Amino acid sequence: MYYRPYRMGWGVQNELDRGWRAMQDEDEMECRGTWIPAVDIRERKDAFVLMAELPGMKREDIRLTIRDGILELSGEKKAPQLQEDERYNRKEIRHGSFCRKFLLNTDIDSAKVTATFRDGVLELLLPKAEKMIPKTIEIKGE
Amino acid sequence: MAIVRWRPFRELNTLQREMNRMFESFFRDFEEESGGELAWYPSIDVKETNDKVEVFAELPGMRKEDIKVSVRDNVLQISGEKKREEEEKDANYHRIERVYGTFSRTITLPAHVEIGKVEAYFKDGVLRLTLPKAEEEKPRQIEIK
Repeated sequence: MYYRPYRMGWGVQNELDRGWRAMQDEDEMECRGTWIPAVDIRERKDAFVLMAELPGMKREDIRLTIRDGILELSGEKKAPQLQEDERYNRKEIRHGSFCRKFLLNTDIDSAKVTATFRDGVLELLLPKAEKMIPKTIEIKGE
Repeated sequence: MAIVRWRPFRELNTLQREMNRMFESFFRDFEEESGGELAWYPSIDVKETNDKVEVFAELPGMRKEDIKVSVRDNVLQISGEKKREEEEKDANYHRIERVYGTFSRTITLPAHVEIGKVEAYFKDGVLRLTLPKAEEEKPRQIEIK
Protein backbone atom coordinates (compact mmCIF):
# COMPACT_ATOMS: atom_id res chain seq x y z
CA MET A 1 0.00 0.00 0.00
CA TYR A 2 1.22 3.47 -0.83
CA TYR A 3 1.28 6.27 1.60
CA ARG A 4 -1.25 8.78 0.41
CA PRO A 5 -1.10 11.87 2.56
CA TYR A 6 -4.05 13.52 0.82
CA ARG A 7 -6.26 10.63 1.68
CA MET A 8 -7.25 11.91 5.05
CA GLY A 9 -9.60 9.22 6.14
CA TRP A 10 -13.25 8.65 5.60
CA GLY A 11 -14.77 11.70 7.16
CA VAL A 12 -12.81 14.35 5.33
CA GLN A 13 -12.92 12.44 2.09
CA ASN A 14 -16.65 12.14 2.32
CA GLU A 15 -17.05 15.79 3.16
CA LEU A 16 -14.96 16.76 0.16
CA ASP A 17 -16.85 14.40 -2.10
CA ARG A 18 -20.08 15.74 -0.81
CA GLY A 19 -19.06 19.32 -1.31
CA TRP A 20 -17.85 18.55 -4.81
CA ARG A 21 -20.97 16.65 -5.71
CA ALA A 22 -23.17 19.33 -4.25
CA MET A 23 -21.56 21.83 -6.60
CA GLN A 24 -21.64 19.53 -9.57
CA ASP A 25 -25.15 18.38 -9.06
CA GLU A 26 -26.78 21.57 -7.98
CA ASP A 27 -29.23 21.24 -10.82
CA GLU A 28 -29.73 17.63 -10.07
CA MET A 29 -30.50 18.41 -6.44
CA GLU A 30 -33.06 20.97 -7.38
CA CYS A 31 -36.58 19.97 -6.70
CA ARG A 32 -39.79 21.97 -6.57
CA GLY A 33 -43.16 21.79 -4.93
CA THR A 34 -45.89 23.87 -3.39
CA TRP A 35 -45.16 22.64 0.15
CA ILE A 36 -42.25 21.15 2.08
CA PRO A 37 -42.81 18.21 4.40
CA ALA A 38 -40.76 18.07 7.63
CA VAL A 39 -38.16 15.29 7.62
CA ASP A 40 -35.99 13.68 10.30
CA ILE A 41 -33.03 11.54 9.28
CA ARG A 42 -31.02 9.47 11.68
CA GLU A 43 -28.14 7.15 10.99
CA ARG A 44 -27.56 3.87 12.73
CA LYS A 45 -24.61 1.60 12.32
CA ASP A 46 -26.39 -0.52 9.75
CA ALA A 47 -29.06 1.76 8.29
CA PHE A 48 -30.54 5.20 7.80
CA VAL A 49 -34.02 5.92 9.08
CA LEU A 50 -35.97 8.69 7.38
CA MET A 51 -39.27 9.94 8.78
CA ALA A 52 -41.38 12.34 6.72
CA GLU A 53 -44.59 14.05 7.82
CA LEU A 54 -47.14 13.60 5.05
CA PRO A 55 -50.52 14.13 6.70
CA GLY A 56 -53.61 13.53 4.62
CA MET A 57 -51.71 11.78 1.86
CA LYS A 58 -52.49 8.45 0.34
CA ARG A 59 -49.86 5.78 0.10
CA GLU A 60 -50.24 5.54 -3.66
CA ASP A 61 -49.55 9.26 -4.13
CA ILE A 62 -46.06 9.05 -2.61
CA ARG A 63 -43.06 8.27 -4.85
CA LEU A 64 -39.60 7.24 -3.78
CA THR A 65 -36.53 6.74 -5.94
CA ILE A 66 -32.88 6.15 -5.12
CA ARG A 67 -30.41 6.81 -7.90
CA ASP A 68 -26.72 7.70 -7.91
CA GLY A 69 -26.69 8.24 -4.18
CA ILE A 70 -29.63 10.64 -4.29
CA LEU A 71 -32.86 9.82 -2.56
CA GLU A 72 -35.85 11.57 -4.02
CA LEU A 73 -39.12 11.70 -2.18
CA SER A 74 -42.01 13.31 -4.00
CA GLY A 75 -45.73 13.17 -4.40
CA GLU A 76 -48.94 15.04 -4.60
CA LYS A 77 -51.49 15.88 -1.97
CA LYS A 78 -54.64 16.39 -3.93
CA ALA A 79 -56.75 19.38 -3.06
CA PRO A 80 -60.26 18.38 -2.04
CA GLN A 81 -62.92 19.32 -4.55
CA LEU A 82 -65.27 21.94 -3.15
CA GLN A 83 -68.97 21.19 -3.46
CA GLU A 84 -71.22 23.88 -4.78
CA ASP A 85 -72.42 25.10 -1.40
CA GLU A 86 -69.03 24.77 0.35
CA ARG A 87 -66.67 27.63 1.07
CA TYR A 88 -63.42 28.01 2.96
CA ASN A 89 -63.34 30.11 6.07
CA ARG A 90 -59.74 29.42 6.88
CA LYS A 91 -57.19 27.79 4.62
CA GLU A 92 -53.80 26.94 6.09
CA ILE A 93 -53.24 23.43 4.78
CA ARG A 94 -51.10 23.36 1.66
CA HIS A 95 -52.10 21.04 -1.13
CA GLY A 96 -50.32 20.19 -4.34
CA SER A 97 -46.98 18.64 -5.11
CA PHE A 98 -43.91 18.30 -2.94
CA CYS A 99 -40.42 17.09 -3.73
CA ARG A 100 -37.33 16.65 -1.60
CA LYS A 101 -33.92 15.25 -2.45
CA PHE A 102 -31.28 13.99 -0.07
CA LEU A 103 -27.70 13.12 -0.80
CA LEU A 104 -26.73 9.79 0.73
CA ASN A 105 -23.08 9.57 1.62
CA THR A 106 -23.24 5.80 1.94
CA ASP A 107 -24.28 3.08 -0.48
CA ILE A 108 -27.74 1.75 0.27
CA ASP A 109 -28.90 -1.78 -0.35
CA SER A 110 -31.91 -0.60 -2.31
CA ALA A 111 -33.41 -4.07 -2.56
CA LYS A 112 -33.86 -4.09 1.22
CA VAL A 113 -35.43 -0.67 1.64
CA THR A 114 -38.73 -0.84 3.50
CA ALA A 115 -41.41 1.83 3.87
CA THR A 116 -44.30 2.07 6.29
CA PHE A 117 -46.93 4.77 6.34
CA ARG A 118 -48.90 5.34 9.51
CA ASP A 119 -50.82 8.28 10.95
CA GLY A 120 -49.52 10.53 8.20
CA VAL A 121 -45.86 9.71 8.81
CA LEU A 122 -43.75 7.83 6.28
CA GLU A 123 -40.92 5.83 7.79
CA LEU A 124 -38.18 4.60 5.50
CA LEU A 125 -35.62 2.10 6.61
CA LEU A 126 -32.60 2.30 4.31
CA PRO A 127 -30.14 -0.49 5.10
CA LYS A 128 -26.53 0.28 4.24
CA ALA A 129 -24.81 -1.90 1.69
CA GLU A 130 -22.95 -4.72 3.38
CA LYS A 131 -19.54 -3.33 2.44
CA MET A 132 -20.32 -0.02 4.16
CA ILE A 133 -21.06 -1.50 7.56
CA PRO A 134 -18.00 -1.30 9.83
CA LYS A 135 -17.00 -4.64 11.23
CA THR A 136 -15.33 -5.15 14.54
CA ILE A 137 -12.46 -7.53 14.20
CA GLU A 138 -11.64 -9.66 17.13
CA ILE A 139 -7.99 -9.60 18.03
CA LYS A 140 -6.72 -12.93 19.08
CA GLY A 141 -3.63 -13.52 21.06
CA GLU A 142 -2.13 -15.13 24.05
CA MET B 1 -56.28 73.00 13.00
CA ALA B 2 -52.62 73.70 13.55
CA ILE B 3 -50.24 73.59 10.69
CA VAL B 4 -47.55 70.99 11.30
CA ARG B 5 -44.39 70.73 9.37
CA TRP B 6 -44.23 67.63 7.26
CA ARG B 7 -41.36 65.42 8.28
CA PRO B 8 -41.15 62.49 5.94
CA PHE B 9 -38.61 60.67 8.11
CA ARG B 10 -40.91 60.69 11.05
CA GLU B 11 -43.30 58.46 9.13
CA LEU B 12 -40.49 56.07 8.47
CA ASN B 13 -39.72 56.07 12.16
CA THR B 14 -43.29 55.18 12.95
CA LEU B 15 -43.15 52.33 10.49
CA GLN B 16 -39.91 51.15 12.02
CA ARG B 17 -41.44 51.20 15.50
CA GLU B 18 -44.46 49.27 14.30
CA MET B 19 -42.27 46.63 12.79
CA ASN B 20 -40.13 46.35 15.87
CA ARG B 21 -43.20 45.86 17.97
CA MET B 22 -44.51 43.23 15.63
CA PHE B 23 -41.26 41.30 15.82
CA GLU B 24 -41.04 41.57 19.56
CA SER B 25 -44.55 40.34 20.18
CA PHE B 26 -44.03 37.55 17.71
CA PHE B 27 -41.00 36.24 19.53
CA ARG B 28 -42.53 36.82 22.95
CA ASP B 29 -45.56 34.72 21.99
CA PHE B 30 -43.20 32.06 20.84
CA GLU B 31 -41.35 31.91 24.13
CA GLU B 32 -44.34 32.24 26.39
CA GLU B 33 -46.45 29.61 24.80
CA SER B 34 -43.80 26.99 24.69
CA GLY B 35 -41.91 27.71 27.88
CA GLY B 36 -38.69 28.07 25.96
CA GLU B 37 -39.23 25.13 23.67
CA LEU B 38 -40.09 25.58 20.05
CA ALA B 39 -43.86 25.76 19.76
CA TRP B 40 -45.71 24.24 16.89
CA TYR B 41 -48.97 25.16 15.30
CA PRO B 42 -50.80 22.56 13.29
CA SER B 43 -52.28 23.81 10.01
CA ILE B 44 -56.04 24.11 10.07
CA ASP B 45 -58.71 24.45 7.38
CA VAL B 46 -62.28 25.48 8.16
CA LYS B 47 -64.94 24.75 5.58
CA GLU B 48 -68.53 25.88 5.81
CA THR B 49 -71.78 24.90 4.16
CA ASN B 50 -75.32 26.06 4.86
CA ASP B 51 -75.88 23.48 7.57
CA LYS B 52 -72.47 22.49 8.89
CA VAL B 53 -68.90 23.51 9.61
CA GLU B 54 -66.01 21.16 8.90
CA VAL B 55 -62.56 21.53 10.45
CA PHE B 56 -59.41 19.76 9.32
CA ALA B 57 -56.22 19.81 11.39
CA GLU B 58 -52.92 18.27 10.33
CA LEU B 59 -51.47 16.26 13.21
CA PRO B 60 -49.02 13.80 11.67
CA GLY B 61 -47.51 11.21 13.95
CA MET B 62 -50.01 11.80 16.74
CA ARG B 63 -52.23 9.25 18.39
CA LYS B 64 -55.90 9.99 18.81
CA GLU B 65 -55.69 9.61 22.59
CA ASP B 66 -53.18 12.47 22.72
CA ILE B 67 -55.55 14.95 21.04
CA LYS B 68 -58.15 16.99 22.92
CA VAL B 69 -61.05 18.81 21.28
CA SER B 70 -63.48 21.10 23.05
CA VAL B 71 -66.22 23.46 21.87
CA ARG B 72 -67.83 26.28 23.82
CA ASP B 73 -70.22 28.68 22.20
CA ASN B 74 -68.65 29.15 18.80
CA VAL B 75 -65.10 28.71 20.01
CA LEU B 76 -63.20 25.55 19.17
CA GLN B 77 -60.05 24.47 20.93
CA ILE B 78 -57.75 21.73 19.67
CA SER B 79 -54.80 20.83 21.87
CA GLY B 80 -52.52 17.95 22.64
CA GLU B 81 -49.05 16.65 22.84
CA LYS B 82 -46.94 15.09 20.16
CA LYS B 83 -44.61 12.68 21.83
CA ARG B 84 -41.23 11.90 20.42
CA GLU B 85 -40.64 8.28 19.58
CA GLU B 86 -38.05 6.66 21.75
CA GLU B 87 -34.69 8.09 20.78
CA GLU B 88 -32.03 5.72 19.68
CA LYS B 89 -28.95 6.22 21.75
CA ASP B 90 -26.36 5.20 19.21
CA ALA B 91 -28.08 6.95 16.30
CA ASN B 92 -26.60 10.01 14.74
CA TYR B 93 -29.15 12.63 13.74
CA HIS B 94 -28.50 14.23 10.34
CA ARG B 95 -31.68 16.23 10.11
CA ILE B 96 -34.34 17.17 12.64
CA GLU B 97 -37.20 19.18 11.20
CA ARG B 98 -40.19 17.63 12.93
CA VAL B 99 -41.39 19.48 16.00
CA TYR B 100 -42.64 17.76 19.13
CA GLY B 101 -44.28 18.84 22.35
CA THR B 102 -47.56 20.45 23.28
CA PHE B 103 -49.71 22.63 21.10
CA SER B 104 -52.97 24.46 21.46
CA ARG B 105 -55.06 26.29 18.93
CA THR B 106 -58.24 28.21 19.53
CA ILE B 107 -60.46 29.10 16.62
CA THR B 108 -63.65 31.08 16.35
CA LEU B 109 -66.10 29.12 14.25
CA PRO B 110 -68.16 30.94 11.62
CA ALA B 111 -71.39 29.86 13.38
CA HIS B 112 -72.78 28.42 16.59
CA VAL B 113 -72.95 24.65 16.42
CA GLU B 114 -74.90 21.79 18.00
CA ILE B 115 -72.32 20.82 20.56
CA GLY B 116 -73.92 17.45 21.26
CA LYS B 117 -73.68 16.45 17.60
CA VAL B 118 -70.04 17.25 16.92
CA GLU B 119 -68.15 14.34 15.43
CA ALA B 120 -64.38 13.84 15.37
CA TYR B 121 -62.45 11.39 13.24
CA PHE B 122 -58.70 10.92 13.02
CA LYS B 123 -57.13 9.30 9.97
CA ASP B 124 -53.74 9.48 8.23
CA GLY B 125 -52.57 12.23 10.55
CA VAL B 126 -55.54 14.49 9.87
CA LEU B 127 -58.24 15.29 12.43
CA ARG B 128 -61.60 15.94 10.83
CA LEU B 129 -64.41 17.55 12.80
CA THR B 130 -67.98 17.78 11.59
CA LEU B 131 -69.98 20.40 13.49
CA PRO B 132 -73.65 20.76 12.53
CA LYS B 133 -74.81 24.35 12.75
CA ALA B 134 -77.29 25.34 15.42
CA GLU B 135 -80.83 25.51 14.10
CA GLU B 136 -81.05 29.31 14.33
CA GLU B 137 -77.89 29.72 12.24
CA LYS B 138 -79.19 27.87 9.22
CA PRO B 139 -80.41 30.06 6.42
CA ARG B 140 -84.15 29.88 6.04
CA GLN B 141 -86.18 30.45 2.99
CA ILE B 142 -88.95 32.88 3.81
CA GLU B 143 -92.15 32.35 2.01
CA ILE B 144 -93.72 35.51 0.66
CA LYS B 145 -97.44 35.51 1.01
